[in-house]
Amino acid sequence: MPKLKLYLFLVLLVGAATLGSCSHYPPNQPLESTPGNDSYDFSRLNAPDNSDETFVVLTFSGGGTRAAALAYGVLDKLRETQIDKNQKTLLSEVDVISTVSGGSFTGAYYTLFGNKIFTDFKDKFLYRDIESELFWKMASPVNWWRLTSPYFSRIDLAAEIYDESIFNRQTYGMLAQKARKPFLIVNATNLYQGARFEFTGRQFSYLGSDIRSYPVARAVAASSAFPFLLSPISLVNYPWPAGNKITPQDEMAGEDYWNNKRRYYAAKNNAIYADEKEHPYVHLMDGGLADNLGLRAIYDLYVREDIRNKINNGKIKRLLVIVVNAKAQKKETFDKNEAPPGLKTTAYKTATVSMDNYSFESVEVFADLLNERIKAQQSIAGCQQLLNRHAQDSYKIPPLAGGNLKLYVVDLAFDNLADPQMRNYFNSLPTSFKLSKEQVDKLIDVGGKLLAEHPEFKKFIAENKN
Amino acid sequence: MEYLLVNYPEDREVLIDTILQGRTNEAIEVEKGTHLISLKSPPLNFRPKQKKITLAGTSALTPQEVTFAKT
Repeated sequence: MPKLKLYLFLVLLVGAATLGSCSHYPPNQPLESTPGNDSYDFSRLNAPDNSDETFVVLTFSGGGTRAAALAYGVLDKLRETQIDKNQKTLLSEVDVISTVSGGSFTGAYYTLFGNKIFTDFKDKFLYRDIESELFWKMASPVNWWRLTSPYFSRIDLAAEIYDESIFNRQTYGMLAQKARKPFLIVNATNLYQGARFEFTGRQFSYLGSDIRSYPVARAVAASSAFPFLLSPISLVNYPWPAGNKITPQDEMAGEDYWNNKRRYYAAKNNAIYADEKEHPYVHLMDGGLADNLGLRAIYDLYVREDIRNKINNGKIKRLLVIVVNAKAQKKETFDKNEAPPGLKTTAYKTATVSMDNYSFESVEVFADLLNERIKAQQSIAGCQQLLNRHAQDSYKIPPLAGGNLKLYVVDLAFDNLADPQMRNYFNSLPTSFKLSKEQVDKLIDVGGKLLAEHPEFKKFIAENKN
Repeated sequence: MEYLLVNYPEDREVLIDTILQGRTNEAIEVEKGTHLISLKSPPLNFRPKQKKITLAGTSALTPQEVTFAKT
């Protein structure tokens, strides 16, 4: 009898080990024909009910449930904000949502399910203790064995939870089929370069991969794979079916090392995907490692991609960019001790300091860029007035492509709050996927309040309400 | 950002790095750096076919000019 028990134990052990070694993350699929990814490309998205004239961009930062709830509060306030007599809301005018980490849950859910978010997202995500659920899933003996596989890790378990219980197994193909705005850009970080990786058809074309079969939940998982706590999400980098992955724009930018390093390095980051032998796999972590605001994606769209094309082709008349930044500033005590902080604190600070340190700089750089356009418009108008007044012939200065744009940047952050008590309360909320119902409700309220009270948002409403 | 003015006797769409952006005879805002400039065709009634330029140090009032002749 003891021999039989031992035999059974060994059979179970071998079976489980085999099961474990067979576990594999669901890989992204190769692209079979080049137009496959066009279905999830912003330049191809045509939503007749949402014109480009008023172009609204939202960026949702990282910060766990704190960020997700704050973003939800902003969406709710936009839903309440009517912009014309026909009760059209500003929410229905949103064209792009760029998200990172915790903000990706709210952005992806709204993009997939629309206004349904206001009926079920609190229970489906905001009020949930995702951290405990992940812990218990990891504690399940079935998953111990799966986790022994080198091709299956904690992040894959997290992605399963998100896929089954939040995102209803929706893929990018399903999202593309809806053919409606907003266009969702979920941002992660390529661990090799530390560069931004976005879940869009364009980015997947660099991987030679078809985005349509990829689950949105896995993109959100990659975007929120917090360093040390969660492992990276892996993708396969396939050869491009039609030959060269490098675009004409990348080729030109490759010559710009001395002219424009931002452009040069953006192209260089794209170029590594063309080397499938050296980089057959891509490993992605929290989007906050590259940009915790999601604003870099919008910077690229504005400077060299689709927003730029729309401006130059005269489609956009007013551009409103709302940056929802859930950065907190928890009070630390380690400066009171002579002894340096321990490994846990140091690791946490190392992972988070770089994410938040220069977020305000990113907003300033972007705001300066928009101000540059406003100044250019003013220069042309001012010079033309002088010419009309003083010059004998009526010389017309060449107008700016896109005409006179109205541009607004609305940066929402807890530091905007005038009340120090409120500011301290929100700044001390932790970065986790477990907040109390009361904390979540307060975050939702303050999201709406921050938006409604922002001077630039008030200006936008005053200048553009029909 | 930099500014590009594409001169051509007629109103035509401008191609910057193979993408349609703006029209001839207006100042087009473009990212600093090296670009390939052409006009939308057909009709292919302009010369040269394309021009490679490096945009830097321009302003809205002093854009870099690129001229295509009608053929």
